[in-house]
Amino acid sequence: MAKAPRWEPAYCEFFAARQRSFLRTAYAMLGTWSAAEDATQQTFVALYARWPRISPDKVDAYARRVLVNTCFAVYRRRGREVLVDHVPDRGATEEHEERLALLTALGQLDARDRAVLALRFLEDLPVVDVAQILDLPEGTVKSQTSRALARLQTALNPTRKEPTS
Amino acid sequence: MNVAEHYRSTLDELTRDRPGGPALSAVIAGGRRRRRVRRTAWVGAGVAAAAVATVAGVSLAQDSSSVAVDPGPSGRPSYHDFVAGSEVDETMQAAVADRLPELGAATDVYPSDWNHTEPIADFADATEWHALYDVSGTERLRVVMSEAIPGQPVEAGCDGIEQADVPCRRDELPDGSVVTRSGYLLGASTYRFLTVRVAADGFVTETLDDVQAQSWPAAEASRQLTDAQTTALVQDPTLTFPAPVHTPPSPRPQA
Repeated sequence: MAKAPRWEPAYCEFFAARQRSFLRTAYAMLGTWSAAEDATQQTFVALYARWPRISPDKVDAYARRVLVNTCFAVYRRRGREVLVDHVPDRGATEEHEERLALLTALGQLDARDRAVLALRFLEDLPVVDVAQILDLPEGTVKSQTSRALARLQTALNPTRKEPTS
Repeated sequence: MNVAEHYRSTLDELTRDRPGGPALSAVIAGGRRRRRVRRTAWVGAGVAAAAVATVAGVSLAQDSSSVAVDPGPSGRPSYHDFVAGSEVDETMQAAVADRLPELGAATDVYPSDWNHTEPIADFADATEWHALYDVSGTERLRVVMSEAIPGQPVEAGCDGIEQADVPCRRDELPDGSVVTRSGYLLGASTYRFLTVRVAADGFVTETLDDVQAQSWPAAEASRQLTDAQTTALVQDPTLTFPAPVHTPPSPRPQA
């Protein structure tokens, strides 16, 4: 049996702390739970392979970059196909319809818009961190966030025109 | 509720109690497997590289113990991860460190494509990779790998690049590839030493070694790298990268 490397406990701790939030981010980017699970697994496998070489103070940002890049790769492989997962029906039909509408609207955004929204509003990351993860200037992240929200709004309510920026 | 709040609350509801997700045991097993594969690949590539260099009659400046391996927690020096999620950047740095051990760290490694000289955002669509090094205050090295452009022949000889005082040498290797070594005046006081390997399938690996000097002999005299080193580097079998997921449009052939 292979001896566990000395750093493995730190990796396990990171996995426990981030697995759920990475899964949510991947789901927000990819639109299906199974694709999100695959992308999250790929990310953690890649992280394990490189763990000793990742600076401890940068591991969070690094891991999110790997996750986002992995999701971009999945997104490209399936050729911008719009996928909407089965939405769990928890009772009220109106709520169910709203959830379905949001996922459908998300499916109309491109991968970068989805990434910005997930990092800003699901992960609650500040603009500076999102800029670092996406390798973009902070100003670009701000404008992209604004445009992504406008596009989402338009997709949810097609009669409302997207504001020009 | 504004659209951002709607987004957040809906995704919260959709994911809050949902079971599933990767198991820790599975990712550790996958991670260990990948680490083993990487170690094997690095060592195997080093052996293959030595074999190719011997066939080409190039003597290596270092012994096989300098082959880069995944360093582990307290082992060999690591390579900077310029492109998260890709291992090509680290592979390039390892190849350069193996052939040119006197060089410092790369200043940049990035993916690009036929239509750009600058980095592109999506490394999976790269048709080129560049690694940059400061050799000295007056010498800079760029290592480039590039896919063949579909439908466009690759120049693999000295035709058109030989200049009066700068020789061009062309060698055909047993594997069907062609290596040329040449040079030219790049700018007012910069000379470029160019080593290019064109594989049988059109894949190109090249080094562009730019030296600031007032003349070609002065550039040769102050150059720190050698043709033997750059020739060995362009033949390094680890210098490769995956085909692009989406092939960009081909640039127009140069007139």
